[in-house]
Amino acid sequence: MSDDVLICPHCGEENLASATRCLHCGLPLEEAFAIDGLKDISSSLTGDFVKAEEESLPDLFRDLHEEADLQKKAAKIEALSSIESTTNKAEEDASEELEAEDTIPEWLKKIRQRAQVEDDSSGDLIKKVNARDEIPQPSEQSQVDNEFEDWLRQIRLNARRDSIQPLVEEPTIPGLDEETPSWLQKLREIKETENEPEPELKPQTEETLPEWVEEEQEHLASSDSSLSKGHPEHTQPLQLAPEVTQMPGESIGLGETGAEKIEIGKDQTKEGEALEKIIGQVGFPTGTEGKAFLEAFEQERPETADLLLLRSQRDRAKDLKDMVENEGKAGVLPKQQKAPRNKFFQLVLYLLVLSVIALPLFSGAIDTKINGTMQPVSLAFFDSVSQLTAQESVLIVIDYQPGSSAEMAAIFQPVLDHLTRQAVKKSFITTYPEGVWLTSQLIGQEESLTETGTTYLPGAKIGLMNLSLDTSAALSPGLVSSDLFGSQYDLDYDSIILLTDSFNGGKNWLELVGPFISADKSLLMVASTQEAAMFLPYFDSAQLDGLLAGLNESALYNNALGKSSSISINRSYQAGLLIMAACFVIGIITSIGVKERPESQEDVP
Amino acid sequence: MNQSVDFIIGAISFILTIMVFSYLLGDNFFFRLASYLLVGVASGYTAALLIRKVIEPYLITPIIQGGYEQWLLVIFPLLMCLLLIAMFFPRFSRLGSLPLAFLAGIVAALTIVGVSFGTLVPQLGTLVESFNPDGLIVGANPNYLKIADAVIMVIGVVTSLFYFHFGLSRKKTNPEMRPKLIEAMAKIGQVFIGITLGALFAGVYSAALLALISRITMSRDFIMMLFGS
Repeated sequence: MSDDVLICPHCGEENLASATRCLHCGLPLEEAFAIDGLKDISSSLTGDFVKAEEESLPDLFRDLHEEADLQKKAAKIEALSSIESTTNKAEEDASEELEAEDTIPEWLKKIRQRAQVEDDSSGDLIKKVNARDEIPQPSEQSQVDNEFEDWLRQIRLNARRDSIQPLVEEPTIPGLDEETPSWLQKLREIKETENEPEPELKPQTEETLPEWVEEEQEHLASSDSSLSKGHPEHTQPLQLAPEVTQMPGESIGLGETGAEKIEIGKDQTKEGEALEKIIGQVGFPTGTEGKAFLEAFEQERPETADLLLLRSQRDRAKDLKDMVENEGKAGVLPKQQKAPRNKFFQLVLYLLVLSVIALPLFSGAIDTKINGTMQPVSLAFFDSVSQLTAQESVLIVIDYQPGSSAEMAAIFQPVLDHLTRQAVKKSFITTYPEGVWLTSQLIGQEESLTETGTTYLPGAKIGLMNLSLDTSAALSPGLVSSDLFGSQYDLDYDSIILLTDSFNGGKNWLELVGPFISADKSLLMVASTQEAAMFLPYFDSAQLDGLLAGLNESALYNNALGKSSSISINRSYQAGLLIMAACFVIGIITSIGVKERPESQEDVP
Repeated sequence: MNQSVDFIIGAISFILTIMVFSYLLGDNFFFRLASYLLVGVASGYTAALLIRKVIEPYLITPIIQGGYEQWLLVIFPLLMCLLLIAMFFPRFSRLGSLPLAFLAGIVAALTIVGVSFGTLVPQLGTLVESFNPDGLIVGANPNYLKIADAVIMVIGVVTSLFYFHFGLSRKKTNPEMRPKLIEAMAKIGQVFIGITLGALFAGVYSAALLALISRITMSRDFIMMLFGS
């Protein structure tokens, strides 16, 4: 059996070595009570077996045993004398209390009476012990009871002292209590008792700093100069208050009195000063040293729960501040990460396509006549131009973008040759600003061409309508129409040839100018390949007298003029079309595969 | 002299073409430089052209040299221009609504008149004319090709118009769907619209292909000129 613990023979629970009754079942522990002289407990515990063993001992051991018994008896006598003295002292105290009760005022008596009626704040343990006091004690154990009463009195005194100064236990963090520095413990105390009258906080000077803080300071002092030089922000004073402390709207106490409080978020300067003050009180290094120390501390040590709490508060405060500042502002969507592409294979593919298209061009110019016949629209165009006689006027409209100039110039080239052969008078007009430059480029290709002037017609649709109403006024700036509201609307040209790469541009001419062209005059169109299909219905409705579109039709037009055409461009064009067709097929196959993937993924749990 | 000018212009064109082709390697400084040059040169050219071809002959010259009639014709556009310029100043920005409303009204009127009398009426007339018995019957035998052409044209026009019918069914059983007849017609019209858009896309690709061929041809000519062949 251990010397510190007694095992209750009734319930088997552990009790203090000095206990006379079990704290769990309340039954007496006299059988285990080891005060000699009051009762020969040893005999009951050891029995005849012990006596037999003692008799069998040698003389030397028997003498030693008897000597030990004598010492025990002396100790028992001393214990009994001390118990008697304490009993007498208690009786004297009781008599003194009775004498003093006569002199106690009435208000104190009422308080005492009330204290006897009401429960005290000594706790459940004391109540249990008090309840055990009410159990009638055997008369033969009066001395033991006295000792027990003294022990209980001592417990009560301790309990009352504890109730006066309640001890709030710290939530223990495993592995951190021993390592928690003193300044952090003081921060914890400030945080817990910030709403109560705070006991005095001893300002911790540098002399009372813990050793590890001093070591850190010495270590950082050596690197402080380099930090301040290398990082300008380190030279700024430590400003933990607005961000680190608490959420906006909360308040913090200022240490000693607790009466002075600052609303967080209203005056950041005061907040900073308040935190600096608190930090100074607990002895934490401030300024550049403090910031550098914090950085080193975060890097070298695991973050404690306190720092994590402060950091979460700071993050929340920062998020809230950002939300308030960004209220009503347009947000920027985060960029989506593009899937990485294999640029090498992409470049190889581009170069392959480029080489396929360019190869016919570099193989040499092949001038030949293309076999085939012109389409009806192209044939109608050729016939209309052929019917023009010398000295008749033709208005050529340049209505295409510079990007289409190569195609449009290539298509229009045989028509320009035809017009020159017919010796018609050509005039150029454009509704695009770039058309002026494109016209000069187009005219420069024909050496025999003498026309150099190009008219820019501003106003888009309004300009076209103006052209229809009075051609002379529209094409002659500053000229006032002589018949502004007359009924005779007619163009001053025998034919109009429109060069366009845009359906809308061509449609404007057909809708706003076409209806004002008399039946004996023709409206012809040279269109790019991409828009040719859109203009065919206008030919069916007789709004167009002829349409020439595409390089192939242009080459056939050249054949009709008895000229040969270079087919290298045509071959390159056909190679490009083949590539387009191949890409379409590959795209269709790929898209079919893409459609099936999500359905198969849905089946996957 | 002309050869040297052609060489310089050809060299500049060749370098700019290579800079644009460098986009094959990804977006880079040379491609952006060529783009900025294009935008800047085009803007400057347009501004200079408008000053010389529009403002000077249509506004300044009539004011300086014109008579009473030209003054009357110029003063209204001048007033409109001043009101448009007032839009630069927030205090007078509302004054610019007047010329904008004037322009928008005229353009809308021209568009409606043009589409009505320039496209709808002639095209509907062509559609009706396609069923003219004189064109469908050649002698005593019917021209099946023309008949098929006319029928397909009618189906294409009608079903394409049904595709742009966005009304919903009044039946409570399926209120979120168009009526079945319209839905079926719209499906057929979708085919015609798809063919049309496909033709337009092919045309766009064709135009881009021709532009590429043009640039390659220009580069070929410059290289041949550079090496004297």
